[in-house]
Amino acid sequence: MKIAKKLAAVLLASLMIVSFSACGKKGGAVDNYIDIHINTEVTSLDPQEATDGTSFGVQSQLIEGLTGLDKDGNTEGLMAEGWSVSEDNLTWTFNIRKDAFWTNGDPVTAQDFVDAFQTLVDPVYNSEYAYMGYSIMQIKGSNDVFNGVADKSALGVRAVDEKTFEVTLEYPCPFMLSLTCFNSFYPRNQKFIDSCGENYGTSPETFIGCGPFKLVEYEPSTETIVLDKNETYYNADKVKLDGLRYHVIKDAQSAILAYENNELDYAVIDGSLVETYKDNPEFQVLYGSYLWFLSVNMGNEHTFKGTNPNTGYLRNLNLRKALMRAYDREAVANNVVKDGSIAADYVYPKGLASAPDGRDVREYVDAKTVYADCLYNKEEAYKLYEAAAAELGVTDFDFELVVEDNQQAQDVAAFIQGQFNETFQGHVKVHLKVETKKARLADMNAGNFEIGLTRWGPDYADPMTYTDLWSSFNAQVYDDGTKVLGGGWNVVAPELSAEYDKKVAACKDGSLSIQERWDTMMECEKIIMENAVILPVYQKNDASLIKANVKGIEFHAIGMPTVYRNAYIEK
Amino acid sequence: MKKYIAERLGTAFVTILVIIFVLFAMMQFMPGSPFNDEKLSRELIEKLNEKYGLNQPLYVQFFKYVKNVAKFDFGISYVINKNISINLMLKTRVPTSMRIGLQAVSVGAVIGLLLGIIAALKHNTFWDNLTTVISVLGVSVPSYVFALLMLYTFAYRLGWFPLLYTKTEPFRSSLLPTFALSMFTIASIARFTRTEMLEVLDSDYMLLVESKGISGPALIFRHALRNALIPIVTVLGPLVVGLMTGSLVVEKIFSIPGMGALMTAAIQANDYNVTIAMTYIYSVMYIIIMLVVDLLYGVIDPRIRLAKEDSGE
Repeated sequence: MKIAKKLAAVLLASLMIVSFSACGKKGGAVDNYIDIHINTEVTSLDPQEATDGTSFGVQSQLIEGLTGLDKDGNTEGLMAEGWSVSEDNLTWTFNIRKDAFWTNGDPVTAQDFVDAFQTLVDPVYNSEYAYMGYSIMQIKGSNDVFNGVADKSALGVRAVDEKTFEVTLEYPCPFMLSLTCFNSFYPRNQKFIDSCGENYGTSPETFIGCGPFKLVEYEPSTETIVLDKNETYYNADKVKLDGLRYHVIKDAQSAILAYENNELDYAVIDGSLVETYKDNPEFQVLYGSYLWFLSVNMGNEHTFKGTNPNTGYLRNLNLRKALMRAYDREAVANNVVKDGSIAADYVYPKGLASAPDGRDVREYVDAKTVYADCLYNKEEAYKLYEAAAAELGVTDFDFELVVEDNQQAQDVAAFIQGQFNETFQGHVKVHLKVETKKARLADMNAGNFEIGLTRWGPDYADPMTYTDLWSSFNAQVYDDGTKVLGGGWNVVAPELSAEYDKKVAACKDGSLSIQERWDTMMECEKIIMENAVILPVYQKNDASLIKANVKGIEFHAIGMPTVYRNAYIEK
Repeated sequence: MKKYIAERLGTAFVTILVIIFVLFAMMQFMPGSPFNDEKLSRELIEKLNEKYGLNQPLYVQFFKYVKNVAKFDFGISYVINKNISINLMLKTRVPTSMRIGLQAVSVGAVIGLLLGIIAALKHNTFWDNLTTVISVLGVSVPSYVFALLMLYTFAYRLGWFPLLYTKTEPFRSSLLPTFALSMFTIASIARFTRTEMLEVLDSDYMLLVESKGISGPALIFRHALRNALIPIVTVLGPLVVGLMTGSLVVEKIFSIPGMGALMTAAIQANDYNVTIAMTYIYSVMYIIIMLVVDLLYGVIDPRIRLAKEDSGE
């Protein structure tokens, strides 16, 4: 029948029309914008509300805090052009730049910082990062304000005059200038925010910034965010880019194709692609500082009331140390995770902070020598197991290892499972319990776990961001749930824990010199390692590809997101 | 007929009520809460629960929820876009997904029909075999595989299309996802059309029509296709629904800011309100489509309508 031929012709023709009409230019970064890959949506542009790295990263191009990090990671003034601290190290005075303006022309004032600090700890506002104010910076009166005992006006912050901002603390804070880099302490133009009502931060019209870039395209949970150079920025002549474009791409394959196709200048790649790209000159490893570790639940009367024998077994030091030495951390990082992550034979991640003499924390204390008896060693691990078995009168153990449902975490857990099996010749087994991340955290917070693969990322560039976790306040496992990262070791080793608490307190109350304080924090790490309070696994790093002609992006491991204000594209 | 329509509407309404209830119950059973994070302290979690009314008795939460959901007021997001109204988040996502979905259905239906007709008319020739191959591939290969293949071939290798969805070129950048999504529809429709057409073409009345001297397009479209269409309409409904689920993955691959992408993100983040909103919207869409198909049945094929009325259904 002729009709069929005609139909076929129509079909082919229409297909051809579609494809030819689509024949256009091949995408390419020809303009003066950097196209950045992010793999999750921005959850909030409100600095006092956001809690995730992606949001922080975009915010920090739009708003600047009192201080920031320069390209070498040293603190420099941003909105603050200078500062001083009182004799007793309790009162900090910041002088705000005269030439700092919001994008609507308002000057950035001390009051903007007063509003920001008050909002952060205001129980009505209920910021998830309120603890940065009351527990980390320990602003005077912050606990009372947060607990609703005092009005937020009682907080120890004030605008001395339009450009002078003063913060009073409960205790001296040696890392104050590192803290003020953090997004939670970014200024707020409250008048503008109030005028937007509940639409604040949902579109370029209802957002205000004071940073090197300004928002031009944004809507909630959008896939593309466009930022243009901000001409009212005090350092605008130094900003060489016309702007930035963020692209939310969740599929790793799509992202890499987009990068190859020049639609992205900077792409984050995951472990499955590292093998292919690791010899590419554009391949870079960026130090992240998430420490992944096994948290062991040593249980206590509060949680299990003695009903779970496994958590009782985990109170045995020899058993914990046996576990600690039973898995090959180098293999986890290099063969399992494979994204540039490194083995962690320590607690404080590489790149976290520098010692008073300028050396990185991991050069100051070389884990391989100082914690030699904590390293992976199958024979030693088996000996420790034998000792533990004799002490406990039990020869076979079977623990439940809770792990979240992302591929990487599951791969790591499965690998560790295999290593335990091999090292202990089948006497110590773990079975995996896979849950969503939220469910894992709920279980671990309720003390409802035996061993958990978990992580902690730093909030500021000081070892204390980790040290603090295992002070008895945080270390306990209660059935009403507090942080469980210490697994209740304070109950297992009360004397040692009390000693640890004293060291932590001494680091916070200003009684130690900088060097003494640093060394005390190093002693604390030693206690954690030698007592196998946690079992470190690896330090998560990010592998990425950056186009060769894109220069001057400043990456920082800690607290401060990637900085683009000095970046440029080489022509 | 009126009774039939009333009955269908009634069933749809009851189904929606059941869905609302099941959704609420499921969210209660879901492990974890939106406020679990390494960094949150107990006091903060309590305060957050209080802020969002999650500490109120279940029945209070339930009635509040039913009232709001019925009004399509889904409240605010807890996690994905903190404190931002879900309706605002959906404002651009729903049209984007709808548009791509409609494009995929149209492309799928048209190409599928054409392929099916060609195959039937050219029974046991190259064209027929080609259609069979396309059908088998389209039905058995999941849409995300097509998505990746097309992405690689047409966007990356040939550079004809943008790799990722962009709002500056909403049509051009939605073509690849449209085709990826429509493959299953094309395959199913082609298969059905072919079978139905063959059956119709073989029937006695076609012989009669042909003997009356009618030929060409009139024969095919007015007489053969019309009769073949009835069963095809019935599969179109479920296919449209199939597109919705396909879009969950395809939207992720092409970075399309649509409903599917939002739903997957919401489930992973335990964002109760967003998950409920998305599930509810998908369910309502499903129910509406099935309702329309049911009603169309009656309109297109009097036999069904009459049979149903006879049997008192």
